Amino acid sequence: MTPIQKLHLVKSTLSDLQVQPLANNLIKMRDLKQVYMSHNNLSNNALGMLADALAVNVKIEEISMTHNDLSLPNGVKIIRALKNMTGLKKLSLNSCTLDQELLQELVNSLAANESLTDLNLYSNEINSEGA
Amino acid sequence: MIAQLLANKVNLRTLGLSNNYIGQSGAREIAAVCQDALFGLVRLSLESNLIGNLGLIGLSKAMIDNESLEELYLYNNELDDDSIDNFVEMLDNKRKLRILGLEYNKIRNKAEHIMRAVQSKPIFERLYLTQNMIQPTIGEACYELLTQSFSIRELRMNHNH
Repeated sequence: MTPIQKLHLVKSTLSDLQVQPLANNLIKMRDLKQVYMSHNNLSNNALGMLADALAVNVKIEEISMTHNDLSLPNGVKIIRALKNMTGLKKLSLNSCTLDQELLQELVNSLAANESLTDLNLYSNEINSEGA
Repeated sequence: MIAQLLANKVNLRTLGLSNNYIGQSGAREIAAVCQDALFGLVRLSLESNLIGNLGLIGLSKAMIDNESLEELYLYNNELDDDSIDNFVEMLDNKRKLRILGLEYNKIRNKAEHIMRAVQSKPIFERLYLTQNMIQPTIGEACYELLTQSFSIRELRMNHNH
């Protein structure tokens, strides 16, 4: 089977039933480089399953999860999964309900990353302390 | 926190923080890291962030040596003429600047200074000044921009004065 490198599932209204097999397969396929999963209204369970799958996909270079609510309890797992992606270049988390606590998690996850070229955090809840 | 995150991101080309609440002090924090670490920044988006004049003055002073900036978006930040002198001074060495977005602010007569600052930029393409408080006296500067710039493609000035 050809390894998947690009995953585009934008505005797909992914249900938990759809995310589960997707996550199970992503755990086995570790060649992902680009992940676009914006506008999916992902549930807390879906976020948890995807976080586990993304955490082992350390080759990811671009990830866009815009317009998903990462303030749900498992949202932080998605942010923590970014820590393993040492070659991450492009990150978009627009409209993800990021508050100062999640922002601190993001800071921790990306602390060692020196490859980032694009960071987009539009429309979150970042105040002067967050800046 | 964002400034801390960016402190070692020397390859960063795009920073998008629009529609947050970073305010005047947040703008200064971001500006400081732009000055200290983001030497190759190409696109900076800070729209709708309550930056205000003092924030823009801080940003302008910090970005004065940056020569990589191509796109700067400052839509809806409560900016008026008081911060434009520092801003124009910062624009002076931005030879790669292509797009400048300043819509929904309160800029008046000093829009003229902005127009004169960008008209000699070799690849400047788009100036957005819609929904400010620009008066009809801007006509001459506007004419100069449109006739002397070789690269201008778009000038938006709807809903002024």
